[in-house]
Amino acid sequence: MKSLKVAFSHIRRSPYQSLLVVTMLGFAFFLISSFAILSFISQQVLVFFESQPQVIAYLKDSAEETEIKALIAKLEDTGKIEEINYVSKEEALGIYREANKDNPLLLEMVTADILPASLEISATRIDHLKEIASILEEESAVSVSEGGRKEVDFAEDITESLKKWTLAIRRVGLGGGVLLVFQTLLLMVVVTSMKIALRKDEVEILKLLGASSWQARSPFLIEGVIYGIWGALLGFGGMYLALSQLGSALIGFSFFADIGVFPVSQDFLLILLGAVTLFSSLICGLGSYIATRRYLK
Amino acid sequence: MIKKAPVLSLKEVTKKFGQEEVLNSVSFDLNSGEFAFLVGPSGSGKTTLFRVLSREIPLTSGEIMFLDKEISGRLSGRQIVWLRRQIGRVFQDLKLIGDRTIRENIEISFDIFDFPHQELEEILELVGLENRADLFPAQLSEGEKQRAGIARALIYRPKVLLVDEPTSNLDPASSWQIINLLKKVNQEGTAVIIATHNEDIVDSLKMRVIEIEKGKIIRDEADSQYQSNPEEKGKE
Repeated sequence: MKSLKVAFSHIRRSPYQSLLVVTMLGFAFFLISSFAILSFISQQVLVFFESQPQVIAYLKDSAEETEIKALIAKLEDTGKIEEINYVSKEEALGIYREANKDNPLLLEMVTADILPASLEISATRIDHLKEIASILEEESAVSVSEGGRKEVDFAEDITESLKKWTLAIRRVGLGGGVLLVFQTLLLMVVVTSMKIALRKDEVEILKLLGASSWQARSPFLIEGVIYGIWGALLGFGGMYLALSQLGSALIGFSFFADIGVFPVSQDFLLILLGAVTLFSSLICGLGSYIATRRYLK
Repeated sequence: MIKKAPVLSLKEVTKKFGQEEVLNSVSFDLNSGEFAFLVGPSGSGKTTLFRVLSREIPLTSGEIMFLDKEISGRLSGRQIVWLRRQIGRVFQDLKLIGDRTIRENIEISFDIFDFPHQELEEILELVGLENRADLFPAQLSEGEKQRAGIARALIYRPKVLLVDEPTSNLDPASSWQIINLLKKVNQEGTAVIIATHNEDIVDSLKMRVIEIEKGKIIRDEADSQYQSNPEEKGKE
């Protein structure tokens, strides 16, 4: 049976109903795609921060090379270190000069002698930062501030909040996504049931003429899959347009420029388009299948 | 003389709707290629018999054999599909899909059987609808709709064709066109049973007549005439 042709004729013959379904699906998949993108971006931001030196320990001028090497080895033995860089006084001066190159006043009178050497450490996971910091705080090679505290800096607040935000975005995205998928499924069950009710006579005729169950059912299933594909394309298209607008506005901010979030990877967008389309057509096909099982016995 | 094996054989077929007995121990055989009329007043059980034969509704008791297979018991969906492809029906209410053209309505049968559509024009020509195929059912006369219903049933060349009141609401000329068409189908080997009230046609053709009244067969004669009772005749 030419199920595809029949499915298209069903769509053509109830255009407003079809349009409503596609726009509702489009909105649902716009939100799902947006959550996916947001989650991807937040993950990239997190990865960026994780890749930055997360703990900086300033070393005493008196610290011996052997003492520093022992400290590095001790840290590496924990298995929680991604990378350790030793920054000498001269390198520290270079960094300082680079950071303040537009302000000659701040460059005057600054020499390598007054800048401390340091260790810049990246952890494999943000969770490990506290432990690494506490190891450093017990080391005699690490310098002590005037207030008597060890000079160990780590961006605990930023990374912790970032991690919480990322987790929250994922949870909200997942929860919202599940809800939207459930709504999509229900929408397809209801719409297909309505379509079956509208075409009850036609289905009955088909069966009386000897059509198999599949022949009676397939146009409705295919119709559901078509709605799924169109809805996903519409939703993804809307999200892509919004992302393009947002991306071109945000790319000017140095924060985003440094992280390299925008423009969002085309490979990721293509994978997302494929995944959303496949998922949408599966969900809509499933919704239609449930309706045909229920109403086309 | 060797007796032909019946294509369809009914034994004591009974159908009840609640307590009401609509078919009462109906028994008859139909041979391959036979042409028969099923006559009787409205509500006598003609359409119910057709519905039972194509398993649109189950029978209450009795036995139906079709091509030596018992079809009166519990049938799977697949068996029902097979049966409906062997026992064609032309419905009293025609069951044409209103929002499809005649061509599309007939194409349904081609699609169900996955037949190529090449024969479509031939079938349309056979039923005389070649110039009306792109119209919708509402745009056709009753006779043309009837011919479309027959065309749809002819595509898969069923072993038996059950035709329900094909000439009701038709003028005599159109009625004869339909009957001649059904005779042509019969000559090609399909056994045909026509449920009808049309005495003129039944009497003229002198074919087998099965008369049913209140769900019971009261007469089954070859080369017979309508012979309806005068009371019923007066009602119509």
